[in-house]
Amino acid sequence: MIFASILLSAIGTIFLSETLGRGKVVYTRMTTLVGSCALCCAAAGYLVTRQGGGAAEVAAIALSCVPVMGAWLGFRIHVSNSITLELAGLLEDGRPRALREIAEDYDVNGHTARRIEILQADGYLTQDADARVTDTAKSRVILVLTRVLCGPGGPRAVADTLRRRDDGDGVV
Amino acid sequence: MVLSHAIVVYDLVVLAALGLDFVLVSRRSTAVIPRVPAVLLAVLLGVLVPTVTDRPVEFAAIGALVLAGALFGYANFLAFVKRGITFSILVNHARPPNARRPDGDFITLEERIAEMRGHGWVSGDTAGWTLTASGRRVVRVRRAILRALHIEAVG
Repeated sequence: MIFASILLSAIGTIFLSETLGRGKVVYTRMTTLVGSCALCCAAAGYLVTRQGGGAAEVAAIALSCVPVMGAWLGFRIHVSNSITLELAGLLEDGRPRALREIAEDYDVNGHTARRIEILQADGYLTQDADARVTDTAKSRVILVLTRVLCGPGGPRAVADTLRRRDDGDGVV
Repeated sequence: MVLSHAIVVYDLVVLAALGLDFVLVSRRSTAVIPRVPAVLLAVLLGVLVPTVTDRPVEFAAIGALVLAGALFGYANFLAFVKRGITFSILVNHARPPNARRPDGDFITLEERIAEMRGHGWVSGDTAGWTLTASGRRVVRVRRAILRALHIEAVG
């Protein structure tokens, strides 16, 4: 019963958040995902208590949903945002390409501009040409989180790669 | 221990162990696969199953689901915070315009090619890279998922 409830809550959350999100990048609509999860866990908890379950069963369902939704979130972001998967798609035609050709076909500037557009549309960056980080609570939270989670220089592996490249040691 | 209590205990241990791993180990490295916590948590699951007095099989199934979900989510989280382009762009744009790097630098294509080579998705050398059969399968699966879920790809 608990196993089935966890699965149903997770499936319900995915269905609800994807329906409401209409294919948008998931990290720009986290409130929808968290709200959908809370709603589905509450519904599952209600059904379990109606069948004689107690607070421990409800807690077990809600807590177990967290890692399952974490997995979904990771999978969903990976599928939509993975540059590696996008590059793999470029090579599907079978034509061998050197790194320079891959960079041209991938359109690095176009993809970067698209990410900035998404951040501007979601209020993290200003709409002007400078595209500065906006002075809002959610931007401040994201910046603090980024510094805490990633370190002061931003994502560590990216920073390391750029450092190696700057030192002339980053060629594949 | 009854089933519901065992699940709550195991869930909390999984979340705490991965949180601790992040603070003590993974935050300072560039690795994205948490091997040690994975093994320890799997062992703990095996130890706890016989202690569950009602429905131990259901506990094992839930524990496996929670562990697999947590590890997959955690690995993706690590990849996101260590290699995330969006975070890099945000940190970059928190600086004055004249102190920023070009945003395109964060894409680090050479790292992506090395990653694909590591997964066995591409073969070749600096003169030219091509997809392997395994790489083509991955591309087909991703396209099917994007189509089925109507997901916007921004990779």
